Amino acid sequence: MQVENVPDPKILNSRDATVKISSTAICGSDLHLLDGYIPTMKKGDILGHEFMGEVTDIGRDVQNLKVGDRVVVPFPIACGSCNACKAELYSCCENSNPNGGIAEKMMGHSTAGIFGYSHMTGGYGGGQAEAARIPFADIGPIKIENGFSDEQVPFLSDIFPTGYMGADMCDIERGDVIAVWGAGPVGQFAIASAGAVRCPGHVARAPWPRRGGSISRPAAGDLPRARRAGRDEHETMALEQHECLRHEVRASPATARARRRDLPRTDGLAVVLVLGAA
Amino acid sequence: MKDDLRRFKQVMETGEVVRSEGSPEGQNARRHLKQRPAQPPESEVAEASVKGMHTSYT
Repeated sequence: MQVENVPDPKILNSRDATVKISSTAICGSDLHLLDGYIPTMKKGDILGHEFMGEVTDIGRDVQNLKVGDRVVVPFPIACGSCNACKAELYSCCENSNPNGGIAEKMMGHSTAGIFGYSHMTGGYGGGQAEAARIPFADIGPIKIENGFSDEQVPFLSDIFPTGYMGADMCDIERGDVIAVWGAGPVGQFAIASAGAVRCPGHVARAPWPRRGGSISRPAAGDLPRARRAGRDEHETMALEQHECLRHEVRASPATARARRRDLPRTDGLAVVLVLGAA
Repeated sequence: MKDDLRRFKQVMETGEVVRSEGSPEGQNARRHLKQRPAQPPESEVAEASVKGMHTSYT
């Protein structure tokens, strides 16, 4: 990785916009680009798929944005017109990955185009830069109009909706207890989202204490005994009592299956949020 | 052939061939295979790409 000067991004399609980036992030998934788990990188690629900024130019067919708007840019690029987009499955957009054929060879199917995430997901320039081009800018970008600061909203691009999707997929009902394996930012947003969908208790297990240190406290509304328990005791208690859901974040499917076997009940639901197929 | 169909679908559903920094020429299959780095192209490349695409598809 190194910092280089490159040309400014330009409008290439009529529904493009360009943004001057004000905040960006490094995702755990970026590590897969460095370690080769995700292939088809080229020297000179710009990484980064979580970013926000100010619109500096728009294509002739972008009607809902104007120069100067602050936007958060979601990491999947979505056309808004294909069957997947009409079904609101934007990460499965059928048109936004110009290199879909490469992705099909590598993975059996193609994802949507993704900013700064190899050439098999499109070869798009990423957001760890001063500026970026946003294809289909009339569909993806979230306009920030209520005075939120850059520290408050950039995770709308990836980790918050990812964690929320995990909680949403659990079909949480009142009284359920959730265990979250993996206590990075996605896991923390999964916990927050589980609370938002009426989960009275949850357990977070951090495989790496350094990352999990900030979530050792039970959430408000958690089981009373949990308030006095440490993380390990809390986890054990919840598993022995009434755990009926389990939510694995950023672990391998094999790990998820192994953890599932540890649960005391047979009717739990495991949701695995993981990059790539096993 | 499959890539041609993919681009035909793009044109039918979005009105354009979708282009990325790695393949700004869009519909040029040979160039498509030889991806350039995913960083903004020089101005002349971008302008030539836009012109080429519009003469082919619009």
